[in-house]
Amino acid sequence: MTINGGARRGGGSVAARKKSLTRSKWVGLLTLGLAPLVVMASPGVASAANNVCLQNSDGSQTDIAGNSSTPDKTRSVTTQSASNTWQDWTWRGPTFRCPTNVPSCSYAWQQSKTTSWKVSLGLSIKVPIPYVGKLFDELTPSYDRGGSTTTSYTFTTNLKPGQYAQPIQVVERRWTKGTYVGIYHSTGQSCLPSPSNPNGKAWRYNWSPNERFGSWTTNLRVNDYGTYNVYS
Amino acid sequence: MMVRRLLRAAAGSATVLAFGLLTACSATTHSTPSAADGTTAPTAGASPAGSMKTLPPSRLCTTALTTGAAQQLIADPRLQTRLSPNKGDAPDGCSYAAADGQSTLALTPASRAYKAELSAAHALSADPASAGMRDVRVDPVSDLGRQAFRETSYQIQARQHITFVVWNSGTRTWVLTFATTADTSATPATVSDDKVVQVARSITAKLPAGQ
Repeated sequence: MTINGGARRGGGSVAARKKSLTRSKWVGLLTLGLAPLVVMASPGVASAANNVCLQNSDGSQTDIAGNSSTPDKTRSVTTQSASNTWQDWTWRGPTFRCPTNVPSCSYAWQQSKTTSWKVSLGLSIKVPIPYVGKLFDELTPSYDRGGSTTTSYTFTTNLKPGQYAQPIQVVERRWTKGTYVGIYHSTGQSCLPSPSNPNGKAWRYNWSPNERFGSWTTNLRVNDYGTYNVYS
Repeated sequence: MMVRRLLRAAAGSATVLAFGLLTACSATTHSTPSAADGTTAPTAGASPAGSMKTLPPSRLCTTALTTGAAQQLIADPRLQTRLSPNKGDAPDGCSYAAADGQSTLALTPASRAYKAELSAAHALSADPASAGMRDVRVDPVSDLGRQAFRETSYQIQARQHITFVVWNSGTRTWVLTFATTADTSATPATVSDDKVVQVARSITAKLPAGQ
């Protein structure tokens, strides 16, 4: 994962108040992979839809992204995709050769094959601001997700005498770039902490729903199918 | 999101020669990694994920080896989906299988000249073990194209009786293959009574001309 503080930050007076020192500190923390912060909306604290009381476990009041524990959630959006895809062969089956002294072969697969795949290939995330927990894992398409594919080879193909055939499982990927939308800006005003963490410090945040920040790139999985390669 | 699929027991390996135990095509499944909150990320959308890369049915299935023609050999023939190769070329062909997978029928153009096919058949007859076969027999066939022969054999590993009918229609050479599962080899029918030969005769006039 790559973290970069160079991404665009939306304007606004609140954002402008943020000090570069604080940002640098957070970028450093992210790079070191420290324990995730915890943010929650303080219960019992009246807030306008655009002004909420949130609490970081370390009491900081830096800008944060919204996740499942906040009223509003940061989204990821795609901004650019490569025109071409590339193939990732996640499984190769045994090779069969049609004998040379028969007129034709018909090759049928009846195996079921489960292929595990990992989709975090080539991912990099550029985050200019602190994040909450593993928020960007959740937000970034296909980041660090695994899965499996089961393919049943009950299809046929004809082969010429002497040809080789090998079943494969293909995952097609496309290089994709995106950004995040929606950010909480701290107002600098303190508010009542959460009862579950009464000694912590809570701060009021304004939600900026359309503001874009950060960037991510990934080799996004766009297709998945079984097929075979033919060799002569 | 992570969805686990159990590895289903391999129900028979890839067939060695001719046809395997073809059953109804089963759909494949797979998991789609979620793209954040699903706003705009282009997750799998172009085609069903986890599917097979397939080809449309060959025209041979609609013009020559129709379902009706296949019914002469298989009571309830099921058209078999063709796989599309990822790399390389596979010959055209039309295949049917019985519902229980015990019998299969395929029509494909030969990749070699008729003379070469006949030579290969005699070579196999002399050395059937080279293709995992036994009881290979080559018989001439009359009244089918310009030249024709029938090749019968028993494939040991797949436990199949296989009948090839190869004929030169004048412009092309064709192969009609019928395979049926059997525990032991048996004496093939006489050429005049062979239903595979009869099917070949019934479709030869409908085959496309030219290479």
